[in-house]
Amino acid sequence: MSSTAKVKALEKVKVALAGNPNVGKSVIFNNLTGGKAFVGNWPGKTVEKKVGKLELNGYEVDLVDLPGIYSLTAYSVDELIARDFIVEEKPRAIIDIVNAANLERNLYLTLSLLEMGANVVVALNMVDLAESEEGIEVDAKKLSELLGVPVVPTIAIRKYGMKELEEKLLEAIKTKAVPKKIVDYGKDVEEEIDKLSSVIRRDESLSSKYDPRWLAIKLLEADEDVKAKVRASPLADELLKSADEARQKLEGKLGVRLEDYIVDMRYKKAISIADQCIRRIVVKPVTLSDLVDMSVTHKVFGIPIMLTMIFVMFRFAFDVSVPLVDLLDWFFCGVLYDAAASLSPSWLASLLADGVVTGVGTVLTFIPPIAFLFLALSAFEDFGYMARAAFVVDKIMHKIKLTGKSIVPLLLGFGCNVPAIIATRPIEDEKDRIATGLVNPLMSCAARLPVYLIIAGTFFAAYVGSAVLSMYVMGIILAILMANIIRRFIIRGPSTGFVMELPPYMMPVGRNVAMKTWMRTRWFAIKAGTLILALTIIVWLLCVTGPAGYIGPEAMEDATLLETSWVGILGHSLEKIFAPMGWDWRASAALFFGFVAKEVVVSAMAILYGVEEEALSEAIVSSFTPLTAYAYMAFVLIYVPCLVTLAALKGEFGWKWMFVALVYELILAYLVALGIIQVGHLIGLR
Amino acid sequence: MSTVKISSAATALAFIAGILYMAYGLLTLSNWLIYTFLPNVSAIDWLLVFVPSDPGCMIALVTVGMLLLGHVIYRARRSDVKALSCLLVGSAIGLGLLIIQLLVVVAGYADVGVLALAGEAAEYEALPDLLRPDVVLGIPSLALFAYSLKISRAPLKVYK
Repeated sequence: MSSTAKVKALEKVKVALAGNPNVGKSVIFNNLTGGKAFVGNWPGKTVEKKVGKLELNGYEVDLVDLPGIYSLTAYSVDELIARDFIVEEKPRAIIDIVNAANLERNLYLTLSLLEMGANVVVALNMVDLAESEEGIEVDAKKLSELLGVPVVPTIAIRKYGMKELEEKLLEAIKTKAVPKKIVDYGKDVEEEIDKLSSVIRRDESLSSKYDPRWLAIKLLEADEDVKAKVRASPLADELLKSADEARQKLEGKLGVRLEDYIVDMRYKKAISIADQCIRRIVVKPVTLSDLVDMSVTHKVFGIPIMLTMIFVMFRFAFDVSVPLVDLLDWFFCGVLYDAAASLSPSWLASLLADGVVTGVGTVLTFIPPIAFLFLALSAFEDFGYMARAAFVVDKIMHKIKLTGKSIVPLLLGFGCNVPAIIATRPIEDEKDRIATGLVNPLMSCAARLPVYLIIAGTFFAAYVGSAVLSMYVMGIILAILMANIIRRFIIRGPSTGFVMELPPYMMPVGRNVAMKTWMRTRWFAIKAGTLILALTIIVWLLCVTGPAGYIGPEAMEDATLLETSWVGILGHSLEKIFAPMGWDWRASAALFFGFVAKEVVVSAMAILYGVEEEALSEAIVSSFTPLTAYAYMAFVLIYVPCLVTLAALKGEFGWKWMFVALVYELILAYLVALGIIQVGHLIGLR
Repeated sequence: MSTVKISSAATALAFIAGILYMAYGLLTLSNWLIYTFLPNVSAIDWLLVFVPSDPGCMIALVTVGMLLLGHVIYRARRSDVKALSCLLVGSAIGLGLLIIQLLVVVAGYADVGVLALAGEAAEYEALPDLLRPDVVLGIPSLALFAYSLKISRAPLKVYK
């Protein structure tokens, strides 16, 4: 088929492009027509008329760009041109371009077009600017429902929505417009509109050309142009007289000019429709808190920021408190120890020096980093950050049956389990709090590192890092596993809800932070101190006594003597229990000393193997294989928490839960170590 | 759309600092890997800065770098409020890292005093602790924090 024949086959239709000035009408006109247009003047007017062509699936469309107008009154030339074109030329459809950023004002014209009975397709233009400049979002679907015509969101300058606009235009061309009562003017006015409409319908020439309801409204508005058009009708006198009488009657009732009343009602309708379609028109002031929260609770930055905050707390607690730790260490392990050791008799000197002073000293050297950590924690809490930290990991933590607030104590556990357990206090739900506390010792604290380094350095020289790292990973996996088991089978019940509300940021008050720090640290010193003191005395007694009676403090420095003590007996007993793992009595007995503090395992091993700590690596080579050494590391990671941690568990959750932690970790440590040995043997390791 | 006005100089400085934070963060990670897995290989120091071998420090440096570069990206997308947020928080953390490191130096000197009291001869060399990326890059962070705090305190509006 030739192109000429093809063009002839198309049905020619007229479509008008209407809209307020500066709504992007020309851009849409160019988008639809490809920019090609016939430009002339409107008949008898000096106003530019632009007509372009486009093909729409069987239709050749003459797209007429109407002048930019705000309404369809007869007060301006542009409005008259537009109105006349719509009335006289009867375009098959009208694309009404509405500025989404100024919906109310633009809808006035839309309502006017609909009142005329026009077949309207609304192009909701500049939806991007509406959002970015005005902060509003227009619900196009809702707008379409309320207007009863298609509404297409567009961004003309980016050609967004043009295809859909063409599709809707095609649908509109194919369907006949049904005049609708879009604005309700109230009972009295509507009665008069109906009366006038029924008169208009009696004149076929009028009713076929104009929508009777629109004409009636215009007559009530005393539109001079419409009145002039009506004068040609045989019913002109009756119509104009009725309209005048109705107008006078209504103005008397309403107390305003009827024309103003009608305009007002149309605006009210436009406002009402806009209100129902606009989601939010709020200009929100941004506070400093909002700014901080945008990053702190950000889906990408949130977790790295939280980890950084924990790192900052760690550095503050462990690196800045060093002088105080050394000061206390010097005082207790130097001044007081020497003073106690110089007393007589020797058992009293050893009891005081090796038992009491060492025990109390051990507790007190924990105090500076703990106090510093609580200081940082309290400051972050009062500042409002800890709630954000919980918020960013809440969903993840719920998956492992804990709460967002569990994350801080768990991460603190990598430094020291003692403050970490005390840091469970902000968790409101007691079940979540206990579960978090019970799994906390599985997070590998810094004290376990010397043990890993000695053993990994001896048996995994080329893979020290990997071996050590595997301990941390194992601890995390076991903590997740145990949290699930504890919350599912031991402490059942619903978990705390998701963190939804964030407190405002507040500058921490020094006095409050100091008070919180003091209360937490004091509690630790008193509670942990008493238990530690008692237990270190017990350990001392077990070292310096045996079945034969009092051995003397020399046992603590002599492996042969120590073997005859209760600790030696215990070591030999444990050797039988640990036989499947292949650990000798000295390795087994060293674990007992880990009760006091995990790092003591190293010095205890040195004593038991009868060497200096520096020579320990060589001494243990013959006692372990790489497989049994790895199992030993895993056991050190998991088995009973140190005495101070046990004291913290008892203080926070009571005896019952302290024993639960003690027992489950012992069993778990044994099973994991045994599992490593068995699996290792299965795959041919030794 | 917002009423935030951020200077291009601040964004340029944030970009440079962000790149350096990221680079030193990655060097910190590589030094940690060297320290852990390759004991015979020397740690990498760059631009006269002693790069620590600490994975925690790596997280902190990379976080600040991400935030400062996030500022640049948001500015390019014309999301100025989010850009300001990244600048404010990123530079604040950078400043926090500087302060912590300075406290560590003070603690180092105090520890020498304590050990002297205990009769131990101890020395503390502050230079490696002062020529660290968290200290060196803390200086542009300080400038960026002061700037971002100043414009954050002006009344800001954002359309929602």
